[in-house]
Order: sequence, then structure tokens, then C-alpha cells
Amino acid sequence: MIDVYISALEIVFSPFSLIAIAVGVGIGLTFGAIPGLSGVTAVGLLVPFTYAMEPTTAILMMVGVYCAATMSGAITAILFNIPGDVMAVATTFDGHPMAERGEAKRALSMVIFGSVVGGLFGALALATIAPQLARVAIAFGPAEFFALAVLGLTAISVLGSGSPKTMLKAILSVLFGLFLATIGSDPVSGASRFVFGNVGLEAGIARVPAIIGLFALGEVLAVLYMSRKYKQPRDTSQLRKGAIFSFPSGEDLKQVRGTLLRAPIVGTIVGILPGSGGTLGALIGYNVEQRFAKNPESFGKGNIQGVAAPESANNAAVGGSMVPLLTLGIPGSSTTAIMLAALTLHGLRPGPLLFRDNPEMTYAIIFGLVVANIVMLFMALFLVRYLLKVLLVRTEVLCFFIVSISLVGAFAIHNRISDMWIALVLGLIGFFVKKYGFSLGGIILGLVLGNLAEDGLILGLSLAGGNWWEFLTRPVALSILLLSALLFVVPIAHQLVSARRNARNGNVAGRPSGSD
Amino acid sequence: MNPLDRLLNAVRPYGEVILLSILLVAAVWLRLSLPDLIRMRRIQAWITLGPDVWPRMLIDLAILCLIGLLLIALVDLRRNLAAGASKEGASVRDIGRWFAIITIICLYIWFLPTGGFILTTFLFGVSYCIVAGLRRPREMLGLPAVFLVASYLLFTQLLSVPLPRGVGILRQLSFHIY
Repeated sequence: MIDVYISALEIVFSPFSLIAIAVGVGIGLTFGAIPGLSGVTAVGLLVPFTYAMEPTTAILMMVGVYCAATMSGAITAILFNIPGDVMAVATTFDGHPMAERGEAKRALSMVIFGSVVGGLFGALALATIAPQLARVAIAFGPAEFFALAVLGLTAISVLGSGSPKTMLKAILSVLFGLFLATIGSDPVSGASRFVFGNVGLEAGIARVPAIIGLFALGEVLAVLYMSRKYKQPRDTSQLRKGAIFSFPSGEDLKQVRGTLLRAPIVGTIVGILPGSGGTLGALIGYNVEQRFAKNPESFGKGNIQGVAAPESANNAAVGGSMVPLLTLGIPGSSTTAIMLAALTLHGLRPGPLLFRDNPEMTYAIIFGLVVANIVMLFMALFLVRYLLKVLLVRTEVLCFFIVSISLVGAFAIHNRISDMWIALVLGLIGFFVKKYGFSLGGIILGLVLGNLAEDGLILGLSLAGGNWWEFLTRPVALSILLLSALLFVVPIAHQLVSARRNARNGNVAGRPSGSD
Repeated sequence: MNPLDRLLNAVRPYGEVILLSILLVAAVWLRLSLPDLIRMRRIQAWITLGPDVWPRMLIDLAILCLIGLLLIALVDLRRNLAAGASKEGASVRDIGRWFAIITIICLYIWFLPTGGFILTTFLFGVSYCIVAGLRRPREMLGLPAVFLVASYLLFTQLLSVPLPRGVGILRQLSFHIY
């Protein structure tokens, strides 16, 4: 095993990998900081460029983007009260009041430090939990894989919680993603499905152009549609003084030491749950911290703990969300769903066999997460001031580059013009999905888990002679299905109870939902 | 207010109901056309777990969800209309600009195999800048030029992607560049 660790470290510390991580962190910092764009957009756009790279280098670059974008969404959340990424919503609660008091630098230093602590904790959890889980999962058959796909799709109950309407929209999004995955030749019978006489569709909807369309083009089309919203003047004068950022003061660190122990644990656990990702991790981390705080009434008014908690929780969720990806082949968030597609593009099948067949690569990804967090610490401390200049660039200019890169990137994978059309059509679908409050994360989860779910169901049923009860007589499959049911029902029940309680109290409460 | 904007504001509250109705019609059509859309060979017709089982399950569930959603949307619409709530959204001008950008993207993809990467991308960039309101010559010519140089370096030099060369003389010229 030591040999595997040494080989993995050799991979991570090779110049190419380090450059890839640093480039990824730089891209993540930039995309995360721009409201309207996000880390998911950046990872989606990166996929075609990583095609020419070694799979490990490609995934390390994406890990860098994911870590950094999770952190940098807080920059605009603090300065302008606009989260750069939906994961930074909870950071606005206390971060922006601090900026209004003239403490933007103090808040941002805590964001950077808290994110790194959370990220390192998530990486540690990934290194500890993933190998054990993979050892168990290696004995899984089609019924268990079908159950796992169902577990992955229960993410909709988290992504869509809020009201019956958003719930139904999230379920519909997942169904649409699953439907997209059925287009093309059926792998079992070879029958053509929904190709409408188009030979180009026989191979199915290409994942990468679809991801680029949904996440990059769709986002940009939404920004261009409502570009007035992004035109408000931005005052970055608070950060013009001082060359670089410093670590938080000793007093601040003393104040948040409990926070930096609790919030990453919450973030990691939430991150491991399929589909929940950093947004929910940050919100729950914030709520837990408020309950533990000696002065909960100061939350929402610029409490430094209220900045440290969501940031350390959402970065810990990065490592957490990679646990189901690497061990079971089901993504824990939208970003890991894209990583799953990228790994598949490189001919790799994430899941328990990845640990057996490619242990060096798997551990390199785990160690790479640690390195990405350390690189992020230094790059963020030095670069945040310069990143703010990107925010002053006109939205239309940024959109031009993203549209162009998306289209050429979609072409670059297989050198097919038809892939550009797929990206455009899915970009339009992504736009309507955003506009009408459906779930992009749900579609992508359905798209990447569609084949796993269908193959598991059909193969499992074939082996059982068409007997559906077979799924319920296998203990592991049954346990996973029960867990899925629990994950699906609990948020709905919680929502109904909360709605009833709010109705009784005469107020309305909700929480933002998004894809990360 | 512009009469078209007034019309748009009058239609806007019905947007969700219209969208859901279209999706429901599409889903029902897919369900009814399933035997035509999934071409099974005659010999496979006896297989219980045929290629239509999974899609049929998905479409049936989608129809149920869409009916539920449509009902909720109708209740919401009635409540909003009764309360006189109005939604603020994009103006006709914004939507026109958005459609123009989509049209430019369509034309770009359509013309790319004929015009080749350099000419088509440059024309796309210039047209985008005009539509998006970036009309200073520095922006109109500079942005496409910067993107062309960056994509040339990235795609042809670094990633070895064979970018479209176009036809005729454009194809001959492209060999001098990439």
C-alpha cells in the first residue's frame, strides 16, 4: 500500500500536476467570483480542454477549480451582498454587514483561512472513508447498482426541497435527464430510441457538449437575457489599500476555533449525501454554529463566526461530495457529476473498481485535494485584489468569451459540428430551466446516472427472471433503497412541518436552492 | 410604455402555464408515439424487458409530474391574478437582443464548415459585439481578434484540434495558418 501512496504522491507533485492544480485554482477563483457564473460553469467548460491531458491531471485541474470556486463565491458575497456562487449565500448573512462596517479585509481573510481548514478536513475525510466504502462496494451486483442510482437520484429531494412545486420541478428535471440518457441505441437490444432518423444521435447525446450547453451556454444566455441585473456599479475601493491579504488575527482565530472544528464535520457529512453539495452544507453549518454560539443574536449582524462556519462547511463538502463519486460512481454534487462524465470520457468508470484497478490515480486525486487547498491558500491571499478587476469587466465581454469557448470546446471533443448544435439546444434548455426554476443539477444527475440506473434495472430484472421482488430480497439493495426512501421523504416531511408551523405563525420561510 | 412591452407584461403571468402545457402535450405525444420512436426488430418484440420499458416508465412519471405541476401553476396563477401581482422581467428590447444573439450563434454554427474557423469566428465576434452594444471599434475588432489568437494558440498549438478549414480558397489559405 505504501508503494501506492508513494506513486500517488509522485503523480501529484509532478510539475504537470502542480501546474494543472494552480491553473485550476486560478480559473476557479475567477469564475467563482463572477456573479452569474460559477464553479460548475468553469468545470463544464474545462472538460474539452482536459481531453488531451492525462486523466489524473485533468481531474486534478477540476479539483482545483472546484475548491477555489467554492471559496471565491464569498468575495462578492461579502463586498456587494451578491454571492458569486450559490454556495456563498450563507456568507452574505454576516460577511456583508462586516464589509459595511469597513471590515471587508478581515472577513475575506477569514473566508480564505476557513475555506482552507474546511477543505483540508474534507480531504482527510475522503482519504479515510473512501477506501473503506470502496472495499464494501466491490461486491455489488446489478440490483445494488440500480439501488445506488436511485440513491443518487434522491438528491432531487434535497435539490428540490422548498415547496411541492419546486419538488415536482426537481423530479421532472431528473426524469428529463434520465430521458436524455435513453436517446440513441439501447445497449442491451441495440434498438434505436428517439433518434428521429438522425444517424448522429445513434451514439446517444454526447455528455460533454450537453454539459457545456446546460451549464456554460445556459448560464451565459440567462446572464445576457437579464444583463441589466448585472450592471450595478461595484465599489471595490475597500480592497485597494494593502498589497496582499494576511492571515486572520490571533483574536479572530481564538474566536472561531470551535467553529472550525464543528462546521467542517457538518459540511463533510452533508457533502457525502448525494446531490446536497456545498450550498446545503454551508446553510446547515451556519445554522449549527448559530445554535452553538454564546451570542446567537449577533449572527446576521457581522459575526466573524457567521463567516467562518459556512465557508469551512462548504469547502469541507467538496471532499465529502467526492466520496460517493470515487467509491460508488454516483456524484455528490453537480460539479462531481461533470467530473464523473469527464472520467468516463477518459475511459474510466468511477466506482469501487477504480480503487482496485487504478489505486495510484485514485489516491492522487485524494492527495491532490489537499495540495489544491494549500495552493488555493497562497493564490487567494495574493490574487484576490486582482480578481476584483475581473468584476469591472463588462458582462457582455465576459459572455462573448464564454459563448465562443463553449462552442469551440463542444466541437473540439470529437471534431463534430453536430456537437455544437447539441450544446446550443441544451444551452437553450438550460436557459429555460433556470428561468422557470427547474433544476440543472437534477438534469445532469439524471443524464450521468441514466445508464447506470437502466442497466442495473434491466440486468437485475433479467437475472431475476423479471421478478421485481428480487430487488427487495437482497439485503444491501434493500438497505440502499430504504436509505433512498428515507432521504427522499425526510426533507419533504420536514418541509411540510415547517410550512405548517410557519403558516401557524403567519410568516413564510424558504431557503435558496441551487446546483453546485 | 411601449405597446409591445405592455402586451409582454400581460402575457408574462401565463408563461409558466404555457410552458407546462407545451411540455405535457410533448410528453403525451412521446408516450403515444413510443412504438414508432423505438424501432424494435420484429424478433425482439417478445422480450418482456424490451428497450421501451425504461423510457415508458420515465414518460409516465413525467406526465404525472406535469399534471401535478400544471394544477399547482394554475392555482398560483389564479391567486396571483386575484392579488394583482405583477412580475418584472426583460423588456421587448432585451428579448429581441437575446434572440438576435441566438440567431448569430445559429448562423455561426451553420456557416463554420463553409467559411472556416478564422473568417466565421471573426464575423461572429463582430456581429455579437454590434448586437451586445459593444460598438467602439476597439471592442468590435479587438475582442474577436483576441479570441482568435487565444483559440489558435490553445486549440491548434496546445490541444492539436483540427479546427474547421472551410471550402475553396478559404481552405487553401487556412493551411498557411494552422
